Amino acid sequence: MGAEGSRFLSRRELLQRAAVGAGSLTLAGGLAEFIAACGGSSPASSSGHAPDPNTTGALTVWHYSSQQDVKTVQDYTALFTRKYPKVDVKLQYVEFSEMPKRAIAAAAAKSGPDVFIYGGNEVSAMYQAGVFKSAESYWQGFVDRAQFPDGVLTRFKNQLYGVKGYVNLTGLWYNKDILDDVGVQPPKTVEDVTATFARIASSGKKYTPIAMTGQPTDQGDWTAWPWLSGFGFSYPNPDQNAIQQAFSLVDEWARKGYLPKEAVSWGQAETFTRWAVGDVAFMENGNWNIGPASRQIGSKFKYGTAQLPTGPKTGGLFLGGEALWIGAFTKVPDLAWAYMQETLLSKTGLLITLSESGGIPARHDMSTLPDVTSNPLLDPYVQEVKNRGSEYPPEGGAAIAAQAVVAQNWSAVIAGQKSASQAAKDTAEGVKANYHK
Amino acid sequence: MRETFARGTVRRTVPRSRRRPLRVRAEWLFLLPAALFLATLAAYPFVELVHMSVSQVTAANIFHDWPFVGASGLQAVAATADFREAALDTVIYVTLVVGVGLVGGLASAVMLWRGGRIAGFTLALMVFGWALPGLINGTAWRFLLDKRGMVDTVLGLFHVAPVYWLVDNRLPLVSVALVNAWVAVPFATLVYRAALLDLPKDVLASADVDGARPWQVLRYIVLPLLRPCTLVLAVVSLVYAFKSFDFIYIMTFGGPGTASTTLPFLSYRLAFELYKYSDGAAVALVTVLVVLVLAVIYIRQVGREERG
Repeated sequence: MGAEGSRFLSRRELLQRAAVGAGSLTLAGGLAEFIAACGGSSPASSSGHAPDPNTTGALTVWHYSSQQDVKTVQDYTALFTRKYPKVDVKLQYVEFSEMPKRAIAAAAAKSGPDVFIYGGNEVSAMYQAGVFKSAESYWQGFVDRAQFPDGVLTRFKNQLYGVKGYVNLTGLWYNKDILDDVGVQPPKTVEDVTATFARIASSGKKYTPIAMTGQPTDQGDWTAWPWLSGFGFSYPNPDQNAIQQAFSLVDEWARKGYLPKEAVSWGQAETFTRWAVGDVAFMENGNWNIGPASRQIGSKFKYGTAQLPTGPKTGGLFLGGEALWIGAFTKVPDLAWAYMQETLLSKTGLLITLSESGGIPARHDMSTLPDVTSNPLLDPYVQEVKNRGSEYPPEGGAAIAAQAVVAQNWSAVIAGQKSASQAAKDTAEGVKANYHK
Repeated sequence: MRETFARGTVRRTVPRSRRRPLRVRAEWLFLLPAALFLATLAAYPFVELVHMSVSQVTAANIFHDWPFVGASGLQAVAATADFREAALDTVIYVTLVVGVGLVGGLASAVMLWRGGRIAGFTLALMVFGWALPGLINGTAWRFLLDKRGMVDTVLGLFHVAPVYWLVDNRLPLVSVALVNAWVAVPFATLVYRAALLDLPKDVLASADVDGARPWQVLRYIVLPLLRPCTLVLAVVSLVYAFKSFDFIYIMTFGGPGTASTTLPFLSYRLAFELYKYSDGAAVALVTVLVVLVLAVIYIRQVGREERG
């Protein structure tokens, strides 16, 4: 388990509850109920902190939405200022990987934003450095709190700090034109994957079988996790044999050219850009690309999504998504909470996320909306959440150093810098050395 | 009161006990801005760095008391495989940046020695490349060295198979070092060219009269005369290369795996990616100490130059 007092569900707990829930849930109702499998409902009560709509003041929000998807954050803000027209919201862009460092540096000077929009794996370190303010009292007064399952709540020492209004995870995108041309289907298990890639590579059409992230960063770890966990890897139990099986798979793809070696320098955004060119059959990437895909690919080629192939031990998929946090040094905590409440915790706000970036709403009462259930691109992700979702950051954020070890070795295997067996040995030893500290 | 001047004129004298303290105080006053600047931006951070490197600091206690652990933290970090690999990578990186920077700078300076419009234009272009932020240069080169980038496209015209500049084994380290050297060359060119223009004309003219060939002039006259300049430039380039961080951050992020992780990058990763602040500080301290040694050499060399 992660940081002291963290109430993140372990992957095992999550999967156990998923298994119980999945059998009885229909697809329409399954998503939120799955995530809620762990969470009890609380009776609704009125919020005692709602500021007056005529409140004046300023609110600073730190986010990392780049130019491509900043409209979503702007739309959240418009939603908020519709109710609080006299509040001046300042959106400040901070690059994703820089946000934890900047936040901690700001905390040293007892400053920082009023609200953070952040969904990375460094929340535990940020909490320990005193970056966040507890939202527990607001949460207890929040009318809709029962709509949110425990799986999307981040607690430290039994206090609520962050809430994810929606979840993001990785799936398998495919270029349907290429698949039709070659005559293959999206693979369902890891045994099928290499054979499918081989057929694409040998079709004589110069198609690249797959694009995915091989960066030695948390994005690489995110991408590697489904394959590693599919063979039975977990951070508390870094089984070397399981790691070697997963690394052997990706090693073969890289050696045979199924996965371009340049993937080691691609982040998730670059992976999408590369796939969107039109000559790559598959891409491991997230549901947040649904919006960009419709804007950038349009009718250039037909595409779809499928669940990532499962391994012998099924495997998990990190449940990401951006959470909202109140800054520890805010002078306007009520307004900060109001921003959270009006944007990513509200149905309207979550519909913005769903329509613009494909984020899957976590609210129970949105699981049956046609926007969620009738989108064929979203459906595989909804199924994945239901069947294979696992907590992110893993182990409540206690595995940051171990995640870095995984990402570096994942990257090294793709680059051909290490053999699968050497990387597996280094990973198992590195995770043991870093996770248990 | 009597006044005497050095050349036999009268100079105003004041009692010795009063005069010297006044002079000392005035000197210190002039030094004060620079001293304050250095104390705030160099000495204090350095003291904090040393303090952090001998303490146990994580995200949980970064703003609280730091338990003292002495040199054990430094020893533990130095014993890791990551540190050894990063140290080796740093040596390779520094050697390439300094070597290519100096040789390239000298070659460019000799070619641009005579001046003229083309030389001026070339020099301006080089300075432009040197003046660009590392972020811009690094990003541009990352695209240029991509498999579908311009470098491989041009090589492809000559039937050269794509080279995985930023991917294959040790090649990423070499590629980033060469890009860094590419940025270092213009600076070396400027310095060498200034030194070349300052060479005694009569010596060069004598060599010409004696029938020395161009390479002989270069080998036996120019290079020996440029030796002091080369030494200073080498030390400055060593310091620059040793603390280089931006190109690695932008182009490879230390990867693939850890293939291009140098000591400064390892320090960054430990402190700001893994929140092992004291480990990061220990690695940074090693880097700073090496740079300090080089700085002392530089200062001594400059002192020698000034003394003639």
